Amino acid sequence: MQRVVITGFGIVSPIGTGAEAFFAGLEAGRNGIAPITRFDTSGLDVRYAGEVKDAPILADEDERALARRDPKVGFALTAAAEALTMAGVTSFSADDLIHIGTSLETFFFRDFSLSGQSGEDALRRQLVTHPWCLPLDTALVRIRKRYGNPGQAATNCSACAVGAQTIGQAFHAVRDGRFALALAGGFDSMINPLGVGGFQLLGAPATGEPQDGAAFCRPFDASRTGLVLGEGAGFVVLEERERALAAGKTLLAEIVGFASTLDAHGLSAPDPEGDGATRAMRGALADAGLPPQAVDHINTHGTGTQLNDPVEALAIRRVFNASWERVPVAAVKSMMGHSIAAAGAIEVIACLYTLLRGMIPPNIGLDKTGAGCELKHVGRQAEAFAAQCVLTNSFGFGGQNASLILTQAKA
Amino acid sequence: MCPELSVTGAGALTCLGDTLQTTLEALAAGRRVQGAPFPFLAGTPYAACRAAQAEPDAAAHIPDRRLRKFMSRHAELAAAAARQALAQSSPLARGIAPERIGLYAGVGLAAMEMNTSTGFLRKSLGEDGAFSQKAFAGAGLHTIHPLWSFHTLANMPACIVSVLEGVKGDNGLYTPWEDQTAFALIEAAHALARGDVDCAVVVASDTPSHPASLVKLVQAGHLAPTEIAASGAACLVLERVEAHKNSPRLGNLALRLTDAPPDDPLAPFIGRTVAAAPLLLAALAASLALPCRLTGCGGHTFSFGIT
Repeated sequence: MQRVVITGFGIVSPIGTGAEAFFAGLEAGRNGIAPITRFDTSGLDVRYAGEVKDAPILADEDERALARRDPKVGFALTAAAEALTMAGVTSFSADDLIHIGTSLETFFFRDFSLSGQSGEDALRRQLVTHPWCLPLDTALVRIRKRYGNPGQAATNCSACAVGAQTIGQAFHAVRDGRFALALAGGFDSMINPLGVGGFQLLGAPATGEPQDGAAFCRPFDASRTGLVLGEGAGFVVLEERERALAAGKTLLAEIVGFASTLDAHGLSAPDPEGDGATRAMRGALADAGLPPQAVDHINTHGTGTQLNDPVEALAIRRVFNASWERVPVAAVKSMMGHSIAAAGAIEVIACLYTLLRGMIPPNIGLDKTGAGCELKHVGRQAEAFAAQCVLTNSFGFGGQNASLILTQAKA
Repeated sequence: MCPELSVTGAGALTCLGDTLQTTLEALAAGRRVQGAPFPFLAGTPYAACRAAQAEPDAAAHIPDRRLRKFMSRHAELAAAAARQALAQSSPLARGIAPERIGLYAGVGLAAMEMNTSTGFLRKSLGEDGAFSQKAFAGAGLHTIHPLWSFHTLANMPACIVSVLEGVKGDNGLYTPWEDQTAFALIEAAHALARGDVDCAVVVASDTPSHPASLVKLVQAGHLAPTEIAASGAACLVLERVEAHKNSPRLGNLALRLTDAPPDDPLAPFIGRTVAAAPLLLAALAASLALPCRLTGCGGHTFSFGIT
């Protein structure tokens, strides 16, 4: 089996685009959640989200046109370029894998107009001439156009678990010797009328206004009221460790364990016993050949919903047994919101921040720990902490769970 | 190269039949997919790209009425195919733990129901006929079923199979074309080889005859105006060959990456089923228990043979 290291990463997030801006945002505890500006939210109950404010960095007008229609494509191309540049990759070969993911097509409505036309004919004509959305592999197609064809390429659609799952499955593929290099990660944006409206129909997001300047997304807090949508992209470049060393590349971290599981419990709520989450964490530890005591820090899925947070806390306490009280946990969605398919990958990069900078990002939404949410939570300030081994969780709507373990990459 | 695998269960629904057996009987009788006028697309090049046959009856295979309200057509088809394949394989009854059964899926383009789409759009237009955020929030949004997200998120078909069949292991879901279903097969094969799972359920479903999907397929070059799009789904239950040397199985499956051009040899018979096509090929070949080799699936080609 090959050892697998991260040699590059790229990030687009509501608290900063690019490695340095993102790390600075984590360190400062920047609140990226604010009133939605991308469209008029009048009449909607959900009016706050973590929007990406930075313009995507794109190569040509074709890409800019795609990004104007579907912002997540621009996020993906921006993050992919940063990750590949950092890793010194200019093109893909047959030894390489692209495994990226996203969750849901963006439905375009701004183009629609029935002005002066009969309804049915106009709808038909617009359906044919203006497709309602782009296929979910649009970003993959554009990445291949920029960098050439890899040996295999995939668009994963595992909802909120996508970001961690693509990185985990790419890790296995490189570790197994199937590929020498992989670009993996997730990208997403549901901050559009139907995305926000659809979540509102589910009753999952926080509604109303933040109180007294407090953070709106409050994972594990007693006053949490629901998730807050975010958006963005996170990509990493994985390589065989020996190959990366031979090429003189900087090893940013090593991935040592991954597992994914299914709750098989229900579609709209997690298993109340946290069985799937527990098995994901235990599976990742077994995959890494590590005991729970080896983990120094946990990045939680931490969405700020009534149901998910205590279930995740329960699962962590179960996996880490008596040692849970010494393992600091972060909840970065408090700063960025839940970027759905991008979240897991963005949070792998938050783990890189911990490993590279010796800092744990804050949970800016935590004032008073909610019942059942007891863990060793990091407070509202980033904390210095020399972690050797970190675990990150991503749990998806529908009962998909993924856990990844990263360690310091020692040359 | 992927390791060879045993096929211990197979299920399928096509425009010719609601099961593998009825599809095979229809094919043996010389029936094949027929194109039908598509009123919504009349006057466009895509007017006759839809299968004339009735949609496969998936609901009959899904006894859990409570879950059906969460299910899109994609999900119904996937659930019905998985039910057939798992009934044949019975991994849980054979003592394989649910945590050791993995689930890998290929999912086609999301398809909003036509009535949902048009009703929602009409109610979301302002007085000037253009999309209006005020009309959307005040009226259009409320025409959408509260469970719309469950019908649209691409991971739901597989999650529903997980809940219905008690599958709890490793998983991976890919979208939206044939090659991504092939990727699901490859990931399943490697998960079995690594020992991550003892049994892999690979399921794929697609509803390309929905008008919006159909147009996207044509515009992406995945469907010629002369081809006929049809709904379909298939499921294979795969296990390691060494675990099944002396027990019943449908056949062995070998996956090989190739440079062969894309091909969908069943399309003239059961229509273009897009994301479902690779598994339909494999399921039909497995159920025939005849040696065969089928090549080509979408943008990334590979071959697989049932022996």
